Amino acid sequence: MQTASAGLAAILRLVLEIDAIGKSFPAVRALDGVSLRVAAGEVHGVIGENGAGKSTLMKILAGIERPDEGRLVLDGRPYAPRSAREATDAGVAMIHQELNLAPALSVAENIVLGREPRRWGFVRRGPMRAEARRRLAEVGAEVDADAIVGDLPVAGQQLVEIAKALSQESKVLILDEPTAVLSERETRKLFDLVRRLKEAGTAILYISHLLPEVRGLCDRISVLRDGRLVAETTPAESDTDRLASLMVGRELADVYPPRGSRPNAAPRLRVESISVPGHVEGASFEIAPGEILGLAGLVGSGRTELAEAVAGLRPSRGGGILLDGAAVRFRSPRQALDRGVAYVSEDRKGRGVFTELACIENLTLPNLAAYGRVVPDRRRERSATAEWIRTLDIRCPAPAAPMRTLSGGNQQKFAVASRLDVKPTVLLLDEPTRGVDVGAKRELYHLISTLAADGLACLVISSELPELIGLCHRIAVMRQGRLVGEVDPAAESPDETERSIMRLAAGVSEHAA
Amino acid sequence: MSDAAAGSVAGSVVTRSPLARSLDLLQQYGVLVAFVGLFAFNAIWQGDAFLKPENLRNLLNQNAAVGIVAVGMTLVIVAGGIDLSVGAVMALAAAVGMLAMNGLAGMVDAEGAGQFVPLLAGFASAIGVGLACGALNGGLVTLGRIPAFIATLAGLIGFRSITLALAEGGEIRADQAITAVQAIGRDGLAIPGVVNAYDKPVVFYWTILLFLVVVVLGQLTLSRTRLGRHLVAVGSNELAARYSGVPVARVKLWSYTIVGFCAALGGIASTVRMNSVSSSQLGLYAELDAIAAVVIGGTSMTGGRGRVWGTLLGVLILVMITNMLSLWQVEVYWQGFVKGVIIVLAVLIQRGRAS
Amino acid sequence: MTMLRSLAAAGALLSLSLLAACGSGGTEPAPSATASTVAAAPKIKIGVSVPAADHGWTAGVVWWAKEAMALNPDVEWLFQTAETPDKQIQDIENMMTQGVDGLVVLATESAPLTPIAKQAHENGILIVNVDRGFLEPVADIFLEGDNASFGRKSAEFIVDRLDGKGKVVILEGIPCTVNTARVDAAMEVFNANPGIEIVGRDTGMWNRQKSLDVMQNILVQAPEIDAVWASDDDMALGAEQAIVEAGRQDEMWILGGAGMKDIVKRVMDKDPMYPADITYPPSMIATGIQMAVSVLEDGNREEIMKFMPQHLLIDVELILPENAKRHYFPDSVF
Repeated sequence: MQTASAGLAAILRLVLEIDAIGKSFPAVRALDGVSLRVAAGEVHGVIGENGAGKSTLMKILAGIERPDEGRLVLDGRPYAPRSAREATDAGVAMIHQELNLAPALSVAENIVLGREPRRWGFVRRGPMRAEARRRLAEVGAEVDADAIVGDLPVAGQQLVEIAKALSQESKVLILDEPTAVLSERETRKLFDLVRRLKEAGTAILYISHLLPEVRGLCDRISVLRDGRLVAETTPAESDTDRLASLMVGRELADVYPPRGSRPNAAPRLRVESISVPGHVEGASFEIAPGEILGLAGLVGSGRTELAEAVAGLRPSRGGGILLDGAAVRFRSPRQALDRGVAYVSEDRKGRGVFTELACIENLTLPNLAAYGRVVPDRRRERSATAEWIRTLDIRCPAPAAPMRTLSGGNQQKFAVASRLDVKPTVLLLDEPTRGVDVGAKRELYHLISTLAADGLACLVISSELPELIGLCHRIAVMRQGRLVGEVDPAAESPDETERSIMRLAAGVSEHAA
Repeated sequence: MSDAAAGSVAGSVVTRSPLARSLDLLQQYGVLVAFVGLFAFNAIWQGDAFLKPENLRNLLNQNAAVGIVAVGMTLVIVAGGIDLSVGAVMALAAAVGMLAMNGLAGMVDAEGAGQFVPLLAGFASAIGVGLACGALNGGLVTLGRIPAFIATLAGLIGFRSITLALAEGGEIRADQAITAVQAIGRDGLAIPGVVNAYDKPVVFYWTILLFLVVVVLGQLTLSRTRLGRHLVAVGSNELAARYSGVPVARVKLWSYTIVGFCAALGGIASTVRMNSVSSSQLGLYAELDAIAAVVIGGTSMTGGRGRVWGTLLGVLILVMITNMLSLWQVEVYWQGFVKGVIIVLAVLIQRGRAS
Repeated sequence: MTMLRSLAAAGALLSLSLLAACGSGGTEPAPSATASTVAAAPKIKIGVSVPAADHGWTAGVVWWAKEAMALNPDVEWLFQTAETPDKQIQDIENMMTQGVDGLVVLATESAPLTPIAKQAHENGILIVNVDRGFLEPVADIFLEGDNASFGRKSAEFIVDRLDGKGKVVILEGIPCTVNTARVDAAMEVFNANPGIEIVGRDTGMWNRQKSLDVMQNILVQAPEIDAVWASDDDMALGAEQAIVEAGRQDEMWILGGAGMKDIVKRVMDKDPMYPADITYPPSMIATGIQMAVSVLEDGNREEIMKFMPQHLLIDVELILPENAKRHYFPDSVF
């Protein structure tokens, strides 16, 4: 283990000491003697695969979970929060992967929630708004303080959450996968903000799967694997390849599978100028068997709505959808699945998996009729689940364990596996690797590639351009509900391709760029 | 990733303290513990009087109708819904069934032969009414997008009103020619070797048999069939169910239709026991008793988790409590209070499980 | 520690409910307990099942039943009151489980109680049915008030007192055979006297509040009323309140029924509002109990039943100031 920071810590003021923390869940040793030190004005990256224990560690810091052993020291005093409220009061704020806002309240109300300026028991709306505006300005968020949070796009909500954390004058700010829902531009804004906070002396714990991002932003990086701290390093010492291999415990090569040649067959799926009122305007594209089509675009550009319309989840208007040349219009996801068109949602917990149900039940649900029209054959369900667990290298305590006991990445694997179990001929994947670690991402890429090689027509929606560039045969770009262009990633260098996509997505003309 | 191979657990398996484990078990099987405890308590307190097969049979029979309804209610609640109209549907189905039966009473001859057709017509029309009411509730909830609580509350009021109108506020009796109604209510399988205080064989009433059959079918439906899995999925996360290709509306419609069917069976069971249909009394508050039994049985009111055998125990627990309280001469007015406390207790004890 | 909190809350609630249960159990002395503990070596066991005391007449039934049971301490009594037919069926089922030799039943409703009575009959239990009959002849002895006579005698009294000419209001009870028998017999008398005009007719459901309501309506519609045929003392009191509130108490008088002690007292005291009353004695339950005891107590049931009447009609009597003293029981609850 490297302790590059011994000298550094001596100079800087230590804010948070994590000392030999251990935590066990019913079947899993989630954390085993993890120690970290975080100084004021430091951005400390925490990386690791899904299930490595990052989220558990952060939950302990934020008072959501309590450690079984070890101790925490905050500003030289013992720190043992028994609730999120106590953590906040002590100056530790956390921005969750899944946002924690009250959707029905206004932005300002959310920001001051629990600490409303009051007089005679009544909330003083003026000071409340002023406070909220000030915090939003600090974050650089162009968000109306009176807007209802539920009406904001996800990126806007994230900014509100950060503004809320700021308003709590935190000493330690924990950011858990903050860029997963942000566009490129918003991500840059966020990084600016993080750097400003750092200069102001806030200690920041930054959790992410995006290794380049971590390297670019963090002063030090701690790597967790299987509940243990395996390395503490700096961006200077480790490049992304090294970080990745530290995470998975071995050298990680070939993140992206070799791109097969673009198939020349007749299109399996052909979408002709369909519209989804309010979201998509006359979109046309086609995917051949064996082809992987990427769909890029900013959050809110209509990518998800387009895919959902194809999969029978939304009513579409105009044009037509042809499957192997035959016109179809699915009125329900069931019809789509029965015809071999499967969609995996970007919203894992809300639409992808059933957190309270067993892994088996999650896996076989979309294809349950295949296990028995009236009485599903449990033995076959179990063996199919075991098979998928093996194929996708899913880590779960037992096939009968509830989905919530799995880490986010493994839940995502189940969401994908359950659709694959239908044996689709067209697979629509919406942000398939969001919140998934490098090792699992690599497996998913190889899986998608294999499936395509076997003749599946794939659509991959993603905000991570390198992933689209590494995986897809073609990349279509959406802007404000329209398909505005297509990029061939094989034709130019990855950097060139990325720039082309961004220009199309942001609507910047060639000349202006 | 050879060290973290397929399906294995990352990290070591940790054993939990015996106290934590027994608390878990209490939450999981608390209803069973409560049932066994109450049974033992009654057996000791009342002695032979309680343990007499005849008494146990009577206790079961007194609650067969509500029990049948509670089974259907379990399925609806597992699917994330609720049906407040079951009591009223019981009454309406029973009333229509009785009227149909009486309408065909002319087919019965002087010796009482030929009762089969009117009887069958009566039961069939009762079941038809139950299915129709259930489908109507389901339609309002799915197509009409009315919250289940409101839609079935309207049913509770509306169906009862139709029943009162049909019977002009009074009771509907079986036509004198149709003697089979009360015969069925007091007939069943003789339990071999068991006689009552008068040396007559004790029979296991048909209504109890019907109740137990419904329990078994309900449990199998919930835990073994595709429909059952769909009910659980819809109750657990309706959006995710839709995205998984589960026909959500159809599944909900089924759940309300099933509970309507159960309500009709409950209405029939009540009719043959009471030998008449009281438009104001039959099924009154059955929805509350059924929901109470479901909750005590460990089914989550928010859906996604439930068990019919738990509901059966819930019914039996309520039966034994009522029986106990009558024996202690606790006024009937206080019995509801004690039941209310038991319901709160059940929820408190079982709550920790999900967290 | 949510779970510990839950358990603590659970414990608190349980103890509270048990306290409440014990408290309420303690305030109401158990009639069956007092009755049954008296018998040292019970020879025979008799179950008595009657409707709960929800109005005056049924309260009288419960009072008389207890009186009669207390007179026979050698019998093991099982006594239950029921609010609903369902509860009454349960009560009788429990009595049968405990092996009663006889049952004295005043049914809450006829149809629901018939099957269980039939089952008891088939088990050889002596059944004494009081006042409200079963749908099938399963009772060994059926004892009822003569409702036709009740209707006829009460109507004749009104006709006589009005000299065959006057305006009369009719208040009916809960629609059932008892009510029908009374009203039909009364109407027969009124119709035979062309001088009698029926100026209002509605149902008071044998309930004081309901009678007050309907009488208020009738008073508005009928400008002249000479007499009210109320057919029940509870309904008479409701009607009286409406009349007094309308200030028309000097215009008319009321004939109730059933012999409530308050009304009997007012007849005795020559209250102009109540020139008479008519009996329909709740004590008939005691008659039934006493008959059951006499049939069963010496083990000569077969012999005794050879001469016991199977159907007894208890005639009703007009209570007038002259004979009121004989019908006045100040200790009764009714």
